[in-house]
Amino acid sequence: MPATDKELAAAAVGGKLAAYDSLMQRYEGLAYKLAFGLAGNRDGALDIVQAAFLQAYRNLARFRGESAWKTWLLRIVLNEGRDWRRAQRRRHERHLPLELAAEPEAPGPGPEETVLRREKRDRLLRSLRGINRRHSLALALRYFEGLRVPEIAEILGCNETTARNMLFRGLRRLRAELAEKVEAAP
Amino acid sequence: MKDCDRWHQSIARRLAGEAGAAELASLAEHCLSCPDCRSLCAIDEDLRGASAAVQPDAAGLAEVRRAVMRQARSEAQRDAGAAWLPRLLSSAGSAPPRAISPRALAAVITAAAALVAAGFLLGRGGVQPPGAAPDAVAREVGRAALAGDARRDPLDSPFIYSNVRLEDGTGGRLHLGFDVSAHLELDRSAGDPVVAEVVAQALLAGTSPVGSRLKAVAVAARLPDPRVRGALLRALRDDPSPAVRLGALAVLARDRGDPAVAAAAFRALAGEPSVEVRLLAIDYLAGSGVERETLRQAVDSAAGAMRGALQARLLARTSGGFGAGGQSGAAFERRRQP
Repeated sequence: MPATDKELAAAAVGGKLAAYDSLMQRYEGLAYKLAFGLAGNRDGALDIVQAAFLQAYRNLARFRGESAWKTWLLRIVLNEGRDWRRAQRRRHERHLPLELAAEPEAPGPGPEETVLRREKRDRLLRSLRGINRRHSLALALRYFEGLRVPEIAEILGCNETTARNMLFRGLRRLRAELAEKVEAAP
Repeated sequence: MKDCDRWHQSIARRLAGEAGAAELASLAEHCLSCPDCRSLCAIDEDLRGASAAVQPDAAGLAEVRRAVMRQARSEAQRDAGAAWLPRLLSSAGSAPPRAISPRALAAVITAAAALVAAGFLLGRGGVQPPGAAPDAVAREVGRAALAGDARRDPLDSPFIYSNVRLEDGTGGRLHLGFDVSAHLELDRSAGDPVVAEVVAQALLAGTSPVGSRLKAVAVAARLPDPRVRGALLRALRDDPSPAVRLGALAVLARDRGDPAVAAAAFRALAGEPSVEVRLLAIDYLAGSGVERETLRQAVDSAAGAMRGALQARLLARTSGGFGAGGQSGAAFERRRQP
């Protein structure tokens, strides 16, 4: 029977780095999807995942097992995502270019369709980063992690009603943000 | 719109994955005649599509795991090194340090000193004379240096380097001294990948004494290698020695078209503890055509004692000196375009 997350975390605290490697392998896909939702591009997502795994390792001893390891890790991913976004904003404010890394796209009917689809997705992800942070986090957890409302509420530290409201309000804010981007487009 | 209130409840349940099939069907029918609700549902669909298109990047994640493991191993070793005296006390059966008697403490320190001396002698026992044929470890170090992705983080090395020494040799060659699993003495030309690898590793704070890191900065000025550049950026950000940070920025500042260097210089200007480094950052950024107003804002946020010096330098660099007039951010970006 495979070791539980708690067992692996305990082994890693005891100095068994291989146990931590197993934990990372178990959750790297989840962490990446959420990080992608926060960063909007591959390189940013990998930066966030790396920072989050390192942060989680350094704080392993504080993991008491009161919440699931997955929930604990996703909280760290959200925090690292926030720091990443702050750093990017500072960089952007200082007139330095923010490159969106090339992202592999699922094959579409043709190159034109693929380009349009990608542009639409990039616009959507950029807009997601432009709305209120907690709304954006709630949407990222729902869509990129596929989490249910109780899990979202636990990670964001609110009750389920608030989490539901954040999802709906986030969607409306996102629509407004998208409309602004379309109007601002040349 | 008021009629849509109840449909908004349905959309909220749909977002949360809590709407039943009948409710979803009714909502879809309503959307046919309601552009407001239709647009919300369309964004819901688009988000699902965007999420489904994101496939975890297996190669990138494997690299992330390796980097994390490398760093974790390095930190574990460092912690183990920092904890040697308490372990020694514990294995000697002594009480915690606060309760130990002066005589017992003296005995423990003597024993520890003997161990350190023995370690030093044993460590030096494996030193090869300069020019000796590289052993298997040297071949492995060379192989790793050749195989290293030029963009990889210096921390993500298969070896942990320490005790790095860099000296100028004869005929333009460099003499490298460093510990990995054994101490190596190699003579290499400046273009050899091992030189870049060792210089990059030497620049990582904590792996070599400050004198070696300063020497590494000096050698780095002659090595146009992306690994070395990455290590210089890291040294500028993290090195505990202001002299090393200043040297790293001086070397990096020779390239005025590098966004990463500009970002690092901005970071230094905003939060660097050493006024010397901040002054150099002003020189670099003003010389790169960054708008005076942008620099002024960063300078004005400095602590009082430092602010005067920074303002004076900014004034000198942007009134008649290079960078006079300042370029707009857009112009600055355009200059960076190849």
